[in-house]
Amino acid sequence: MPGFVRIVAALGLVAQLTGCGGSGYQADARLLGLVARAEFGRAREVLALQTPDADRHNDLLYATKRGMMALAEGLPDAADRDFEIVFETLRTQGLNADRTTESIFVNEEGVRIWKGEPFEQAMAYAAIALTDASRGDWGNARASAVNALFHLREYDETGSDTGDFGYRPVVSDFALGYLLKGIAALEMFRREEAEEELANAVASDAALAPVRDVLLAGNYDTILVIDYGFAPRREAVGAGGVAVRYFPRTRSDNAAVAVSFAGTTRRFPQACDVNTMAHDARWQSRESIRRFKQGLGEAMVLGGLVLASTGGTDGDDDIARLAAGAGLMLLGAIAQSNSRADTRHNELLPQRVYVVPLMLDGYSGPVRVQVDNRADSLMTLHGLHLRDPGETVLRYVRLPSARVEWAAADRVLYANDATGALPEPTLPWILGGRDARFPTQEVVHDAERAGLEVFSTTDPITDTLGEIRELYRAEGIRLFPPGDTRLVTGHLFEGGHSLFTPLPGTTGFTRLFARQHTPYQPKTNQLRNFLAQHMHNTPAAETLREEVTP
Amino acid sequence: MRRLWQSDRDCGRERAKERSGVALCVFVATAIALSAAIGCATPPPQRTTRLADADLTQAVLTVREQLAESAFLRSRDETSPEARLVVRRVENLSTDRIAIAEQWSLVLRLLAAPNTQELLQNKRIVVQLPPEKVRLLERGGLRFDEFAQESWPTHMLKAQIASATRAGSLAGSRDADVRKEYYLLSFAIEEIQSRELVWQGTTEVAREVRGSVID
Repeated sequence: MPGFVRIVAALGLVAQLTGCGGSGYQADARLLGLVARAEFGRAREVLALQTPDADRHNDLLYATKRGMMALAEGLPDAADRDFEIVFETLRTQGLNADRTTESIFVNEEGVRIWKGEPFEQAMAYAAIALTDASRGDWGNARASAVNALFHLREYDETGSDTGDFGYRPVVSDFALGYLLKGIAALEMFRREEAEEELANAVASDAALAPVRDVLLAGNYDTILVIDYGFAPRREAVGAGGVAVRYFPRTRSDNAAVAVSFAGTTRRFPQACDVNTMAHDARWQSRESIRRFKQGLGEAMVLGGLVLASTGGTDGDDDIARLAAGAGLMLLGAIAQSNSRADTRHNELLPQRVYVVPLMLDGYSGPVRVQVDNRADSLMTLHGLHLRDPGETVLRYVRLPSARVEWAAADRVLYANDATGALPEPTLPWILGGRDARFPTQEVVHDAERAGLEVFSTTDPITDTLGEIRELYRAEGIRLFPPGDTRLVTGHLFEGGHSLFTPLPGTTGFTRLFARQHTPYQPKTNQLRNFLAQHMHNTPAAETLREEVTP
Repeated sequence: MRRLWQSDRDCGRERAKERSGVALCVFVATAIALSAAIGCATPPPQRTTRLADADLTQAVLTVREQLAESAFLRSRDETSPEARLVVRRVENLSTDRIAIAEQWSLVLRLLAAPNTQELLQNKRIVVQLPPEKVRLLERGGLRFDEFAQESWPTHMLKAQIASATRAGSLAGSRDADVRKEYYLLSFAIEEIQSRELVWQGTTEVAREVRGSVID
């Protein structure tokens, strides 16, 4: 075969093979839209429908996102279910050890278990710490914060004279991790440790000195950890897509967060900028492996090409050389095409985080939070004063990044298990009222005062309570008593099947109870009949009576 | 073409080579099958330094023995004034997440064994419900009377898990590939009035795992 034909054939083969690198991970735009509007309940439903891939390579990614959304919704118990998986996986060493050889010839996304870049791991540990702290479990919050403070590696140029470059371990500069550990230590009466950790936070970011001072002075009874925006998009760039670059979804700036209550406004600096972390080489880990694959692939293709196009003109030696050359090119092409960067990333991470210690001192009104110069980020928090005596409350608050009307609502519109009954008695939600509490005798008493007729001659309240619980069950609604939210799904207010109250002082609480919802429409005749029999003095009951009368 | 020129002797050698090749293949296949079978039988290597349930069980057994032989218990008998022991859940100062239920169970397991219960009764030690459990039961509808002063607890059983982490690179790679966790589990009984530490039991657990810490 003439050498020229061989080279053309070989190049054709290489060109074809290098095109099979895969299109890469795509962030879910619908999910991002829901989170931007603080619709965390719906985001949870979208995530619940995501089926794991057969090889379970993305389980950690999915679990982290589910946990984050449950936390944002004000459901730390539900978040804990996923975060326990996350913690266990992050603490598992050598997760991809058996996949290194394989990943030379197969695209990383196809073979490696996603564990995230170091900054994504640190943020995941921080989210777990916040989940525990939201429940007042400071010991576990401290444990997760400690795990977020792993050593980083920094390019070491000290050996440049001898040409002996390398990496050296450096202590973390994750100020958010230090702050969380310091707060947990304070709550566990470990002052010395707290002072050390808060000093580390300030050493990482001097702007945090005022936050440290408030914490160490003990001048707080409430801590808000506020997230805003989205972490950057990860894309494959460069020759063969071997390198990754992060493109901001939310641009960085130094804007403070303003917190307003009782006629005063205070401003707090950022504790974390994920854009900055993503661009910092110390917070990344695997690019060199891909560069190795790309370099190896190039060398193999070139070597194969030389081998195949040289040699004699006839005989077995020539055929063998051609075959070896083609084989080498093939392997090189595969390695090269699969050196494309793994673009999986946690798109639901925030762009920035604020840590805000406040002294509410009995103030029970709404608290407004807004990032300076970002009008869409406004959020009004309700029920932050609710706590056991002497308890420090930590709440995680995820701000919207798109305008939502209900964010400014300064009144709770529905009775719930946190803030309790409304000033005026109302009917349970299922009976067309505004009471979304777990049904108890108190709820039935309020319903009676709101016009519900109870008939039983023995114990009317208890009997009616039993009937109401049965009606919820018949309508396919699961009731979750306060403090038992591990298994909640979508809220009844938003078309879901669970009745629960998220933690007060969270975005999820505001969206559910300070936003106007369409009244409940009965699905079963059992409920229609109940309404027709027990509600005589309301127009709604008249309509229902007409509906159920044949 | 070259094969046509081979002599009979060469063909004989060729067949012998083939036979030995087949034998080698059978040997290799058997070795692989055996190693796979052995591999299936051995438990998978530990890949995390988190505390395992077996660690906690062993720790409880060790400390239970320490309590049974303690000077505090030896100094008491059926005629001693009643000691009312209230239990606190484990304080987690480790790098591991320990579920709250597990934090309670670890302390309660120390007292739960039948012989320990009997021992405590013989020493006139009464174990009281912790306040958190009382609140939980009250939320479920049970009602408890206010504690009279003569029922106030006299002693408190506390426990703590602390840990220290060491990580490094064995292979000389850029990232840490070995991590060792030293856990110290300690239990203590304090007399509430005097704040005196009347008993302390400790045990240690170490776990080492190899493999990239970050990946």
